[in-house]
Amino acid sequence: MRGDLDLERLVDQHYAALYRFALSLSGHESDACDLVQETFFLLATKGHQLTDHSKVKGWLFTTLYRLFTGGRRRLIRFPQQPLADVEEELPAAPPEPPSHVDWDVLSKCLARLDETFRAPIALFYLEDYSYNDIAEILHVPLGTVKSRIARGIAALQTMMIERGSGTRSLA
Amino acid sequence: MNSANAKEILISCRPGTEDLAAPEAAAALEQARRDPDLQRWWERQQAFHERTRESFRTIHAPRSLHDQILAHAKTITLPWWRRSVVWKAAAAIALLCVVVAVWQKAPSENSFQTFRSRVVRNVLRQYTMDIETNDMTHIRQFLATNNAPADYVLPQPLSSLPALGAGVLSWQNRSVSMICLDSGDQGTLFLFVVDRAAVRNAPAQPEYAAVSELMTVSWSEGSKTYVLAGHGGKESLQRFR
Repeated sequence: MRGDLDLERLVDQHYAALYRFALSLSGHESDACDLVQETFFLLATKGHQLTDHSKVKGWLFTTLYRLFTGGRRRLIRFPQQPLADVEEELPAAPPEPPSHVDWDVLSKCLARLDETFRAPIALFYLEDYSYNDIAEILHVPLGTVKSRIARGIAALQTMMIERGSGTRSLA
Repeated sequence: MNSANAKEILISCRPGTEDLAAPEAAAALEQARRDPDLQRWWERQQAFHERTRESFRTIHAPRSLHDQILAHAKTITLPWWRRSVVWKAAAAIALLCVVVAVWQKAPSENSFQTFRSRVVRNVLRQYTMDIETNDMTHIRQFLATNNAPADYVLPQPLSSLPALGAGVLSWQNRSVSMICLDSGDQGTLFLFVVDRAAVRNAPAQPEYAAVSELMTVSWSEGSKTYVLAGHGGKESLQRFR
């Protein structure tokens, strides 16, 4: 980023949204705080490399996501399940949507959802980002984003209904 | 498109967003208008999206996190080339260098050389005597009255020359006395007297220099600096020193 960063203003504007995204990914408040802090640390030390100030928000979300996935890769000792296999296990047809939603249940279901789906769903609901924006932030193709969101929502709804949070609507 | 296909598309369409602007979403909505069951499912799906979106937004970021981020940012040690204080110091040094360079290169406004050049060229261009008289006493009185140097000391050869008159010039807000003397064969001689403190690097001993078409000899004595200019050569001026 050419020119000086107004770090305080950027923290004011984005720390809450980043925290919500981080909590959606990690499921733990302390981890979420660490991720947000580390993201802003990188902004303060490397943000000057950004040339377009209008893309700071997207850069912050991308960086936080990379920090999360990077940290996860260090923590997970066993091989990750290939995405194709995971997607195969998800319900192809959407269930009936739950009629009741609260964060307590939603967060627990999110935590059980494979992290491949967690990030696009969080961005989908948190920031009203378009599919294109989400694809850019996560660095995945547009079609993949659409597929992950659709299948992720279906899986999320199934889990919520299994937990009894949402009362299955009677058709 | 059947209802199952339509559900796969509509499940990821948020109400009130551009998601529904896509052609496949329009086709899915069209299918919902034809299928009442799908329409009811779509209505519940929209309600789910709204509630889920609201639920995500109930997450409150701790205010302490905000403060911790800023506190942490203050402790970050940036590489030296990214510290603003380094750039400010570098800019200040560069500016200072430029100022010094300009100051050293440019002829100083109050240097003796500039003074000599100005007064001589002033005579060559056009000069007028403010007082015309042969009486040196009157000349001193006139100069003193006009706050110009009047307590000058003329070398003996000069003091024997008849006076023609005098004038007062201004140099850097200081008055300069101009005394005109008749040298006879070499025409008019011009003697300029200024306070020694008004010019920098004034010569103490006689210094000869041609300025344009006039020859000059300059010296300082006591608190005064003198420039004598005439149309003759160096030898002719040496006669009056």
